[in-house]
Amino acid sequence: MEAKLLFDDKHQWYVFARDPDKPEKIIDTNQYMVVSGKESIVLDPGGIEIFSSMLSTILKFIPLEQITHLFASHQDPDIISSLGMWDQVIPKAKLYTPSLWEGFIRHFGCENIEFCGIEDGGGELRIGDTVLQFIPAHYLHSSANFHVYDPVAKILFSGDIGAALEPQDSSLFIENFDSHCDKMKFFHQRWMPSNEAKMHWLKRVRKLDIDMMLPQHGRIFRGKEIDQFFDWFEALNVGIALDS
Amino acid sequence: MIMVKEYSPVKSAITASQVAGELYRASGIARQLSLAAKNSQAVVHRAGSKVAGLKVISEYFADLAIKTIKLAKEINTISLDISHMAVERWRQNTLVEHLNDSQVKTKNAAVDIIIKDTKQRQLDLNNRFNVEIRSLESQLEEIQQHMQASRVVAVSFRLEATQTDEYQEILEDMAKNIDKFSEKIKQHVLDAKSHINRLLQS
Repeated sequence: MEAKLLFDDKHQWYVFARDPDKPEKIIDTNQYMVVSGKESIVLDPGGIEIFSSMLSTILKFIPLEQITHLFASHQDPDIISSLGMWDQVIPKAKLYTPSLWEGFIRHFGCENIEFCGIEDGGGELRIGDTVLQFIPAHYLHSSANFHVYDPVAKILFSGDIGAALEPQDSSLFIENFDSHCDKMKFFHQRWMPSNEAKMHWLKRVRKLDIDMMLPQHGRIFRGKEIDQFFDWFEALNVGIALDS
Repeated sequence: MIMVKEYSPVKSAITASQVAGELYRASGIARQLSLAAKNSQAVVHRAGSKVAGLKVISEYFADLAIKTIKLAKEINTISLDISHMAVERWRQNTLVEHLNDSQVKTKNAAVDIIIKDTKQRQLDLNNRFNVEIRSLESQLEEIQQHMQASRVVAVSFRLEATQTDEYQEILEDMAKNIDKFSEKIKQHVLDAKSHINRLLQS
C-alpha cells in the first residue's frame, strides 16, 4: 500500500492508498491518519479486505499503542467494516462516528473500542496537541455523515465528496481538473441524493480556509482546484436516479 | 497427524505488521548505507593507487547495501503474506465459533460438513503460516549476519584508511558512518526477531 506524508509540521497527515494487494473487485479507498504527540486518529480505516495492509503500513510510521482513535465518516463497509479487527488489535481506542449509526456500525464488532457518537451538529476532538473539527455533511451521501477539518494544516477530509472512480495505478493528486471532472460526474450525480444537502454543505465549507481537500476515493485536491471543485459541484444536478 | 502449533491470529497479524515496520525502517537506513558506500567508492577512485586496498572493501559495502534493501523488500512481502493469512485464520476461527453456536441451537448435518471443511482449511492455513514464519526468521538471520560482517569489515576499512595521507580523515569518517548504519540496521532486525520470538513463545 502506498503511503505519503501530506503535511508535516508539529503534527502530521498521512495518506494510505492504492493497495496492490486489494482484491480486484472491491472499490479502491484512501485512508488518512493524523498523528499529534503520542496520539493519532485513522480516518475511515477501510474495509476488512484491506485491514492487514493498513495495519502493516501504519506500523511503519507509528507503534501500535499510538493508534488511539478511529473516525468513520459514515456506516459503509468500505469505511469501517474492519472495525471488528481493530477492536481486537487496539482495544483501548475510541471510535468517533455519527451517533445515528451506532446500532448499525456495532454489527461490524465493537466490544472493546469505546463508541463515541457525534451528534448531528458536529463537534471537536483533540488529538495530542491538535484540535480537529467534525463538519456535518449529512445526506452526502449517508443520512448521518461527517467530514474532518484541521484549521492548522488547512486540510479538509471530505469523505465521498470529491470522490472519483479510477484505475488502481492512478496518481494521488489531480493533474488536470477539467479532465478529472469526467471521472467524478457519475459518482456524485448517482450517489449524492440531494441538491439541498449539497448547497448546505457548500455554504458551510466555503467559509473554511482549505489548502488540501482529501476524498476517500480518487485524487487529492490542492490550492485553486478546491474552489474549482466547489463551483463544479454547485452546478451539478445530483440525485439523478429519480429521473430514470 | 502432526500437530502444528496454532498462534493467536490477532497476535500474528500484529507481529507480521511490526516486523514489516522494522524492516521498512531498516531499508531506509540501508539506502543511507548505499549512499555512504557510493561516496566511499568515489573517494577511493579519486585517491587512486594510494588506497588500492580500500577499493574491494568499498565495493563490498555497496553490494551489501543492495543485498540488504533486496532482503528487506522480500521480508516485507513475506510479512504482508503472513498478515493476510492471520486475518484469514481470524475470519475462519470466527466462522467456526458461529457455526458451533448455530449447532448448539439447532443441530444440522450440512453445517457439520461446513465446520469440518473450514477446520481443514484452518489446518492448511496454519501449516502454511508456520512455514512462512520460519522463512521470515531465516531471512532476518541472514540480514543480521550481513550486518555483523559489515561491522567487522568497517574496522578493516578504518585501519586501511589510517595508511592513507590526505584522504585519511574523510575515509575514517565514512568507515564510521558505515559502521553506524550497519549497527542501526542490526538493531531493527533484532527488534523484528524479538517480535517474532514473543509470538512463538505465546
